[in-house]
Amino acid sequence: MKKRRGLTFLELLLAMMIAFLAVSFLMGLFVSGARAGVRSREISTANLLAQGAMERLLVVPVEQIQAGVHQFGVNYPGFTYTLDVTDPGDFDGDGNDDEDLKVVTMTVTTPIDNFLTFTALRRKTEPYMGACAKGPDDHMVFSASGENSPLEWSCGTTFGDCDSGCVTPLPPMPGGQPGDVAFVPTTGDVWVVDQGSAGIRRCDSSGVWWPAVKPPIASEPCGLATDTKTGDVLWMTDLANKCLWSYAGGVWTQMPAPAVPLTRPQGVAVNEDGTQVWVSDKDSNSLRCYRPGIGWDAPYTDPGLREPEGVAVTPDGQWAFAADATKVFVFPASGGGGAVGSGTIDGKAQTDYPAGMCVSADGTILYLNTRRGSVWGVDISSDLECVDWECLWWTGEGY
Amino acid sequence: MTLLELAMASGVLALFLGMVAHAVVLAYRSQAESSRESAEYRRAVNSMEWIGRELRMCEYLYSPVPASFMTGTVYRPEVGVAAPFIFRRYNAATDKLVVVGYTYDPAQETVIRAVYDPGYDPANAGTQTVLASRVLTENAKQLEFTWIDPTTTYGSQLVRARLEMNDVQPAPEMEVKVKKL
Repeated sequence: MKKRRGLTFLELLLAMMIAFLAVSFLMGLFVSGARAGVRSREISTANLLAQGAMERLLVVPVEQIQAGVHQFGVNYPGFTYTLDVTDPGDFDGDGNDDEDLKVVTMTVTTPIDNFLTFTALRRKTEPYMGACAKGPDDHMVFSASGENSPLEWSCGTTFGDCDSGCVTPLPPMPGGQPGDVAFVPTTGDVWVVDQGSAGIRRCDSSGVWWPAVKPPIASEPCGLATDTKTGDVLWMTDLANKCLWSYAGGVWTQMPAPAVPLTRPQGVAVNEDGTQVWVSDKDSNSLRCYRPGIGWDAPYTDPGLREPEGVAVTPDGQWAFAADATKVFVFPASGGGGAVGSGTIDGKAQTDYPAGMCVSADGTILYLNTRRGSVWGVDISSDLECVDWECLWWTGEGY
Repeated sequence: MTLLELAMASGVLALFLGMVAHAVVLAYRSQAESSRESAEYRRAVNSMEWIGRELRMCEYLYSPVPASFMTGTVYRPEVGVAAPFIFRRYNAATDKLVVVGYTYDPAQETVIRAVYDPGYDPANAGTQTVLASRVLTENAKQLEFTWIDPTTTYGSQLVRARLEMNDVQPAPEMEVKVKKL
């Protein structure tokens, strides 16, 4: 019998089947590669979106962070993030729970169900927003983010008296976002920057909150102060319009711009009779003094003064004080010029937005440690060196 | 093998080879397209990271005028249409201030980063000297910056940067907290 050469039909089909399987496998690699590319792109997108969302979260008071699922917006359908706020327990390993810390966890989900997790550590008590002295008992009223009402500190100025029980809240402010505060001694009213409505609001001596009042143009109120003799005129710095406003008898008046324009007016302080209105202008690294009916002094500057926020003035208007992140500077209140003294802020004290400093009736500077939740007193020595820092009150958290 | 079997085997083989060839061509095209898109996206993301890092250190905005920018309108720098987005930032490495600007060139479809003379004065054209410039990314479609209302961010200044690329969806964007505008 003649032997057939070559492959049979069945063998040929089998061979093609094997080849087909091999090609299918290779095609699968292409598909996997394409999927990996899409996944890589989604993760990159999620990273960018998460960075932006975290930047926003870091400026939100930790108490107001809303846990749950959130969307990134209409441009990013399918991208969502879930927030969770938890206690870290004993974070620093000292055997005690760190109750002033919170862990914010963000989990980003992409359209094809990739998950990325980001975490940030936040302090519960930050930052303080502003302060004013409440004479004649040397009380102090201040507000803090996360608190829906200003707080009144009533310890007196006994250095070293750090009892956390001496702070009582005012009635809750409508809107719940108090900023800087001013006290009117003749009426007992407390005026507060209402950050929610971009205006100011009065809490009268009976604890009733009045409707917010606003300048006639859109503004961003920051600092607020009044004189301690009559309290007839309130002074407010406006970040949006980079100007100083007065509010008296229900009328807002925008002060003329100084020859050297304000760049970022933050805190404001007024002497006892209201003849000097001091403004800390953060970006020009200077203090400014406005004298009602006269005009602006030349800027008060010092080579070491950088981005001042806190500002205070003695009741007699002889000395003005500026605090930046590291020092308190003392300026003689006459005609502009440089500082005549300065003192290093204790390493535990830091300044922050906007201006937590005021002078009590006895001349003691009361200073809010904005990050650590405490009130400090600064004892200015006779040679104008700020040498003595004492903790007057603290929250009981941090140090 | 009969003629019929041979014809059938050839037909099946031809069909099979045709399918394989088509699949290979499709896969190759798809892979090339995917690689190109990935490369473009990577460039866009790198550019956004670069812009974001510089923007985060912004200490002063020269262009557009801060008062007009801080109204919430979207600003699109574009050669021949709108001035570059120019700002001053601190350079920690040299402890000096740097003036940088970003713009979009529609003719070349590129995003350009320029470094200006540190003495840049918006009111004095003589000071607006470009010291160096380079193409940050190609195949771009649009570059835009948006101011975010501080009343929604507890007083903090945030800016949103968005870079649209040809054939890249979704367009990468990021929000950055700036020191100041």
